[in-house]
Amino acid sequence: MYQPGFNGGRHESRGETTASTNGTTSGTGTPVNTKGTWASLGAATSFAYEAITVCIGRSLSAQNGMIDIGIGASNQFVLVENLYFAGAKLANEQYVFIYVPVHVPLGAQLSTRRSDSVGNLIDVTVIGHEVGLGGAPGFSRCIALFTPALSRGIAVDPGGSTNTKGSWAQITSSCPNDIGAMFGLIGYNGDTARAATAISLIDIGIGAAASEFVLYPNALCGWSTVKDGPSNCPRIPLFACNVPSGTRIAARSQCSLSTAGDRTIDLALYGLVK
Amino acid sequence: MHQPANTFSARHESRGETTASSTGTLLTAAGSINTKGSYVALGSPTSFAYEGFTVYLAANSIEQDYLIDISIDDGSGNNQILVPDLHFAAAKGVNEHNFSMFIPVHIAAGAQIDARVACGDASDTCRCLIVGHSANPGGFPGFSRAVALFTPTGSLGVAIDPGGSAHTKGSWVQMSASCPADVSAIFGVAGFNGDNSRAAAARMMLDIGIGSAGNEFVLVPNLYFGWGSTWDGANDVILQPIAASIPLGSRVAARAQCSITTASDRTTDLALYGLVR
Repeated sequence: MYQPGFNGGRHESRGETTASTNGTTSGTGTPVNTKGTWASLGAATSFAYEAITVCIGRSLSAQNGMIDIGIGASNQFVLVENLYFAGAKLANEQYVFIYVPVHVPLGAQLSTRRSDSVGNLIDVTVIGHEVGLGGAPGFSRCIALFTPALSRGIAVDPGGSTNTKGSWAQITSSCPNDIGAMFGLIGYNGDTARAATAISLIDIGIGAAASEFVLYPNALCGWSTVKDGPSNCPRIPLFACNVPSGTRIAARSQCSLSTAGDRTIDLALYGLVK
Repeated sequence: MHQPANTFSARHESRGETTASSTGTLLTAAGSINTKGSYVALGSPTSFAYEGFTVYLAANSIEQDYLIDISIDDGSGNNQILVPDLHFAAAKGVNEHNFSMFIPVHIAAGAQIDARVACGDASDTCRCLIVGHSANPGGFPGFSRAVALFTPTGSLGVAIDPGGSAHTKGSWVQMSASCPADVSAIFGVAGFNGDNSRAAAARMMLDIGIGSAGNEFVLVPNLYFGWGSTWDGANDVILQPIAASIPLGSRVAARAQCSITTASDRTTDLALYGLVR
């Protein structure tokens, strides 16, 4: 049995601009909600990584972004796909660290690009970790288990009955790969006019429609009226799973509030591939 | 060689949810500021052994800082603390903040999980629930416990002041003079250091280091985050666990650089934790 060890490893940052305390501005596309060109994140990696922490922030307006992390000097391979940055209502107020246990080879050039609902600035940096948590080797890549619309996740509406789980919302009809871990990021579904405080419990399920099995129960998430949406930390942190390719994945929620729009979040769900 | 994880099926169960109101378990701070309240059970005992769990915190009743202990109750009123002083930095807005942290610590089947909270404001409340995991990503077993690598100031972490020169790393600030155990992973939370009247947006890069004063070695470089003037602080900036070796007895420190130089507005507070074999 593998035991957790005294195996910390090295860490290095890529993409920082220390002279102005900035990250690297990810390239956005034209028109909005299309991916831009790749921007290099500093120099090539000086050692192999088994995991990365992606730091995203400095949005200059209320905006949603979908950020890719790639490797390769050209013809980039998408290592991490469509990381969701929900900037909510206020500029500069949202920053997020996202731990993603994927392998990056020694000497790889990391880069970033994004789609964006507004086209304003979003900065990215990466911190590479030589050793994965608990000594676990990195996965091969991280895929989005949803198809973004308007640079958002999938709307999960709890319905009009308070404190009652709503209908399942399909995240993907068919998981594209065998998945060994997942995580989720939650946003405000583009609603910047919320009128009341609310709190919700979110389930992730797998299985055919009407036969869903609750894989992960009751992730807690709340919001009020200033920011109009859940704060954008990795709201459902990384968890182990064994979801085979082809599996349908869904989510549902219950909410303390029944007001249409104000009760709905959007969920971006990710899978780690062998 | 340990191999990844991809066939580690895992069960997940929640403890402490209050489905009748879509929230977690109410934690109430003591009647004296910065003093832990009573332990509250997070639902029923665990139905299987956990190798890790995720802590969710929300619904802060005031713009304040909270420190939460997660513990195991032995059934006789004795609580073994698994995670001490988890920092929920709620900044300026009531109900606007969320916290979710994956903590790979083992909990036995049948254990009763409790929680308690201290707050910078007397008798204030927040909500807590836990989701337990029977396996961890990558399949590694859970650690025995988490330790705080800082001594709280009130209900805050340790103030990290980048100093008066913009875009220049400030002095190292001691988090812990002596790491209390061999640590194999760390995690952390950055807060607003109790300042809810900030005037400008700012960006920060923070280093975590180890070593004696004047001889610090950068362990984790350039954690990049920031804040605006509405929220007045690092907003939900949560470093999920990463592998990091810190031997017993090591001095742990942090430093930062910032895009602004205004005293106080430029300062964050850092709560840092270690995971023990």
